[in-house]
Amino acid sequence: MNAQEPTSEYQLQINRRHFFGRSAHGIGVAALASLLGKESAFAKGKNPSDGILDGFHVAPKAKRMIYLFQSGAPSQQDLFDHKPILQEHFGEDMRDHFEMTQRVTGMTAGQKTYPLAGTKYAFKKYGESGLEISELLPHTAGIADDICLVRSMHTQAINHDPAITFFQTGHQLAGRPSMGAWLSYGLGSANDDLPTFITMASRGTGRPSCQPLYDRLWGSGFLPTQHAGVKLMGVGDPVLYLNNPDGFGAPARRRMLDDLARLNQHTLEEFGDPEIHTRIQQYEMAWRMQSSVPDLTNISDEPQHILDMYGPDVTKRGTYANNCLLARRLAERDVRFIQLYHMGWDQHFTLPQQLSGQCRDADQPSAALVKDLKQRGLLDDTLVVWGGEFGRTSYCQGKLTRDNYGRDHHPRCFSLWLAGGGIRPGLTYGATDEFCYNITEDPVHVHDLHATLLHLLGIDHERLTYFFQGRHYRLTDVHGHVVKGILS
Amino acid sequence: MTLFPKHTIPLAVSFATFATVSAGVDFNRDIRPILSDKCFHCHGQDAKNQKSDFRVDTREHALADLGGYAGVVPGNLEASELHHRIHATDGDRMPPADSNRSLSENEKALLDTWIREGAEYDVHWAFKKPVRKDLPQPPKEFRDWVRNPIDNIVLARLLQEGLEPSPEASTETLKRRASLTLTGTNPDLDALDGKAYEDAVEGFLASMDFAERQALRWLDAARYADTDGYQTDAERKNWPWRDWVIKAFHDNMPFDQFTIEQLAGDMIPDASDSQVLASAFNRNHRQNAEGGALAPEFYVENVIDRLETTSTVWLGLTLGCARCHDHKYDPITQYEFYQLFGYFNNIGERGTGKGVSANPMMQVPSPLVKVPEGLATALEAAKAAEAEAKEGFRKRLDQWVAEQFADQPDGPAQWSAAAQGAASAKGGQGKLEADLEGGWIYQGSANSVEYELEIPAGGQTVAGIRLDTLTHPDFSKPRQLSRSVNGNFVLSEFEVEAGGQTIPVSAASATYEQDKYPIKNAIDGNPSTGWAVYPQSNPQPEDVSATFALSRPVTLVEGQALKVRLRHLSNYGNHNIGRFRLYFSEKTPALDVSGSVSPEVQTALQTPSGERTPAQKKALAKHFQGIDLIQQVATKKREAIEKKIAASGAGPVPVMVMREKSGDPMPAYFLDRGQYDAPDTSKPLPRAIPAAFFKGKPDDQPKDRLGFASWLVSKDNPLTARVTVNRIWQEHFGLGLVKTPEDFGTQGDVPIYDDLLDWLAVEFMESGWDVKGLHRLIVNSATYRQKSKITDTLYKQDPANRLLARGPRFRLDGFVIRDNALEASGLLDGRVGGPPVKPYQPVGLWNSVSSGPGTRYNPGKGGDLYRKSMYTYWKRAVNPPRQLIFDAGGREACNVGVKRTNTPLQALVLMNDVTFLEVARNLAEKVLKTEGLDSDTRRLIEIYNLATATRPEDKALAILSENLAWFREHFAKDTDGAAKFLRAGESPRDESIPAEKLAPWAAVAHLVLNMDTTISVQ
Repeated sequence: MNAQEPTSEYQLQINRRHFFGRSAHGIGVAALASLLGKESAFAKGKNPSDGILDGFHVAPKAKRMIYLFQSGAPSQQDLFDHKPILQEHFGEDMRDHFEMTQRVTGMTAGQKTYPLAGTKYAFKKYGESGLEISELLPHTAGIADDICLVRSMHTQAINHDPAITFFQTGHQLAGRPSMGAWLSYGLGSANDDLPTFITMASRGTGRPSCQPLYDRLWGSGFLPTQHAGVKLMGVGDPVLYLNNPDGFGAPARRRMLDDLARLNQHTLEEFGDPEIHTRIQQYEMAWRMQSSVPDLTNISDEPQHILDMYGPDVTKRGTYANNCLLARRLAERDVRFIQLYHMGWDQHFTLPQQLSGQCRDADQPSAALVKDLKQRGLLDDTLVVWGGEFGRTSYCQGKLTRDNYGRDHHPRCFSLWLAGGGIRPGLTYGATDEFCYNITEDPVHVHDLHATLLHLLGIDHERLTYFFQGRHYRLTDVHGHVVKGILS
Repeated sequence: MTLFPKHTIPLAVSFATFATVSAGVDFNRDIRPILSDKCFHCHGQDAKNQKSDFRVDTREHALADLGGYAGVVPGNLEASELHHRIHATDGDRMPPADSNRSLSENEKALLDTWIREGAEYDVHWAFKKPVRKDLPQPPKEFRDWVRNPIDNIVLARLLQEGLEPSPEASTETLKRRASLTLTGTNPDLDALDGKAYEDAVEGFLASMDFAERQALRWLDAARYADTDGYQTDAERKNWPWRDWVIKAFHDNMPFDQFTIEQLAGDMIPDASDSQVLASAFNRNHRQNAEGGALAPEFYVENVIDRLETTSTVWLGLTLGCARCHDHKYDPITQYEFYQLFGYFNNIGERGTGKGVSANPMMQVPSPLVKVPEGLATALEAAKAAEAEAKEGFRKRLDQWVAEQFADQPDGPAQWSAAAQGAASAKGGQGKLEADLEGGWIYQGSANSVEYELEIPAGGQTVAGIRLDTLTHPDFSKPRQLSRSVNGNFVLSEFEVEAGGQTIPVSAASATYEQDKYPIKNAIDGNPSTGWAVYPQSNPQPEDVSATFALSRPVTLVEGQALKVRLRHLSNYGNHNIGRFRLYFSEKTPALDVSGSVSPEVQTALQTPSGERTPAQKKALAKHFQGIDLIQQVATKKREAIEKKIAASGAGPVPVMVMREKSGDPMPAYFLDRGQYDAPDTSKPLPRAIPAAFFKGKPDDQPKDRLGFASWLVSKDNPLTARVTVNRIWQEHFGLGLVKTPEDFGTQGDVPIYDDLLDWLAVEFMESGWDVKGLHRLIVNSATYRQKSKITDTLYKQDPANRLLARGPRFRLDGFVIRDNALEASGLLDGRVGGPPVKPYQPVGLWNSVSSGPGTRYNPGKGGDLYRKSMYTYWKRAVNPPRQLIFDAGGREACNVGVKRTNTPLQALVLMNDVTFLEVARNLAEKVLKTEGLDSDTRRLIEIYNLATATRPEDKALAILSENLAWFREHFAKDTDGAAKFLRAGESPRDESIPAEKLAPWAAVAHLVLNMDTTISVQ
């Protein structure tokens, strides 16, 4: 199969599916069989012609991914990467210790001093693995032996918009497909009743006024639009336009769809356009979603001890806790890529006050999700990622006191954790220097992370491409190496 | 070569039989696409960045001696290394396994044939000037079928492929088809009844709908949006440019002029406002105002966006590839990329900041929105009145000056400095001290402080007091009148006491009053108000005076002191007057509007008229201007009308435009790896068009952006006409003749109909770039008029209809789907142009894009809910969901392609979006109320007609009747549900029709809106 149909790829796919349907006796049987066999590893209910890949490039370790994106950039010095020297030299100018060679944002470029801000939080080692993390994350501490903490992430963007866009699409500027869109395009759906790629967003209580999110972060870029993430809404219809209007219940809808199918069937007979056939099917899919989505979002069947795991916010729609529980329910339903965004991690000022709120939101539900997946046997083939778009500075932005400080953006090193399908648990990977200014061991670029995530899902990042504007585009552009060190 | 072009083969398995290669390969059609896609990446022109020395991008390179052997030896397969390498199965295989590229057997066979036939190269087809070839003449039996030259070319090809054209569609079908692809609206079939198709087309071309539709497509290419697109995604106001585009299409502005004005309208000698406005085309880029964003970085991004957009829209070239290295496929070096950069970087922009103030800007109204009747005349009148008021100014000024003396026979108040008596300050941390130069100065900080002065004034009569507040270099900039953060102060109360008695202050005036902090606040007895002196714009250090008139003159006896209290009680820190002097006057100062005056004006007034210096005259005029009520009233009146005009959308708004900087041009540098912070500043690059495209002498290279724009539409440029014709063709057939409208380079699609494309391109240029003429030619062709039925044969041979053996059939976009529905029900508000509007949108969509949790999407009111979709507020961070779901581009970057997916989310929009439910109800009301529609059947036909501009067939009608019957029964049992179902939307429901009667009709109408026919061109 080639990927050389930039404008009508999907159309041809659909046509082809229809073509199979109409004349399988003629051309398709052998081909169909081989396509069906291509994903025997995960053959469960998979529509064979849905994804563009003929088969996996490497043996997949994960069937699906849950990405817990912490938007705004959580402070690694206060959460994951303990630097006692910042406390020892508290308040001293960073430049007294070494030459600052990296660019800084316009927000602190004019600062007269760059005082070192040691964290006010205690760090301890947890679990058999001895993972060292902050007291702000007691629940994450409880899954220390399940996660792999990477302390050597780095990126090239220094402002939120380009940095988040880079993390989600592999490019700083708008226009490229998001990671979830690539997966949808490459692997297709493993579920007949729900979209392949679902996103959810929640607002942090630590910093309610915060960095925004934009459609492009889960958009399809130049890929066909159906690969875009479908957003589960925190208010209104859970999926846009999902609910029937008042006074128009399921029986009315069913009658309407039946008559619509008859009308469209006539048009199909008149024009022979396979698109009409597809449209009839898509209306049926919409009908199925009208029950599968409420079935997903209705958590009344969850026992109390499970709700308790996720914490008090879990029953409140639109919260991070609620979204984490939904993520598990989506994973159970074999949705390929589940992307959460939790906002409010941008602590330029009053970091301690804001950060404790953010951690209260995110710590317990994130840990609960990992535990819950594990107790259901789902963690083995579900990849979980937790992290933001860059790191924060070891120097203080604004006024520094022992109890109150802030941190500016720092792209050259930061922390992120992964768990589940194919990830080596209990590992701390990579290291930064004592001031958390540069990486000293095993740097992991965003492109490397992308390459690794695709690898775990069975994809060679260099071989999932799309032909557009004369180039074979890919998520990792022309970069990226699989980080073998974090694989199990 | 096979008869069947390989590009239309949907499945390798089904057409494997075509893999045989017959004689007569064509380099451009057969060979270059293979070399480009499979070889150039490592053996192309980007020699710096590739491992191998062997290049296959030119014949010279391919044939070069590689040390006793050559890659290609024409006519000799065995001696050609290329032949051996592509057939190798071991590690020598080309392309190598790790390149993720491979050659099919068919491709290998083509390459072999090509070598055997002499390995001729040719210039890439799209880089050669288009020429019109002689038209093939149709065989006799098809002579009547051919309507214009498009058909000559298509017919010849069809016959060659063993196909025949499809029969012509019915006139009604054609009218609807042309109306949809030309204007994006359904035609009014009744109005067109009996009219010839060609005449109907003329009507479409002349309509405003045509202009709006063409403009909408252009907006996508121009990445037009109503917000800045980064971070908080602030609102901008470039919509007058959008209206400029509509007007240009309506006026059928020739495409060359359309091009020059949009790319360089600002540089046309004596450019009109309209031409400068046109240049906003290249200011539609995103604009980053994120805190801390670095201006040099985004200056580079903006310029490159301009360059990429321009090259995509006019040249169909992927220039962006040459940003970081030489283009891998097309003849554009990285050096040349930055030479082009120089045409677009010279407008003195900053790179960051919000779009509403991202210089260069212009204040300009929409060329389409007329000032509402009444307001226009009112404005005229107000302007005239203001002019008249201005005319009388001199006279009133003279009169006022004279009155100053007339009122006071002895002349104006004479001020004498108050003595420095005892001074104290209560409440602050500092002290009030006598100033060495007279008056007092406050030393130290204070949050709330009261000064009390006991001024020995025995024997004096005091009727007025003047307070001069003075700047001091130790005070805070910019105002320097206090130690507060900005040098401003707030005087809450000014109080006077003599002999233990309060002397009321009856009037006060000041030489400067801050908005909402007038001087009268200092004498109102209310300590929570006050007088302050901070200007909104351009604050500077400046002394400010206030004059107070006592309610009666006070004569103090010998030894008595006058107590003056200055109370500073505001919440602002250090907002106490830092340094001041007091003056007393025996006479009551005149303190009406003509009130107290600055010392400068006072001196001028005291100078006899004949002796006043020009500066004094100026000071008097300036002062009087501030108190001339006649003129102020006239100005306010004019401003009030202008405000109303602005609210109507007819007023001027700030638009981002291009304005070439004067003086030395901004240098353009080679940026290493495309990085903004890695310029090679040793060598500013001369502006130039890449050598492969510029046919003139190097000295004749365009010197500036205007020259560049002119070159784009010159006959020397092989691309603009082809690219434009292709885009217009795409509008009518759903797919371009080149199916990659964004890429005419060597990696782009090689057209089946290159002869047709070239014929049209030449025709387009020779017609004087007549856009409407080109549309007319296409929709009047027999090719366009074919039925769009897809037979099994046609589907198998040509699923995407690239051979054009049938008419177009494709789904409409989200804009047209909604607009047609609104129009069918009579809800559409047909106003053209103006500010963007906000129709219905699901709740909560904007929640995560706002930086604060409180931002909400507030839908418009009345007609704004029903404007054409092209006027919907385009927020880049969250696109209008209906459009997004129906595949609209996000407007973040230039988009010239068309995506067309078929998804369940689209079904949900049509099923449940309030827009379509409201339309259904209005449509139902309409047919129930229309006289003459006296049977169910007639009403059903009318609904069908209105929604689809097509007459229903009996089968469809039968289904609709059954549906109506079912819903009648359904809603008869559930009248409550019927009432709820009818509640959708803001438009009022006609309560005279019972819910259970109206609801079934609304249900049927809603069904019709969902039909594939309704949302398709066919």
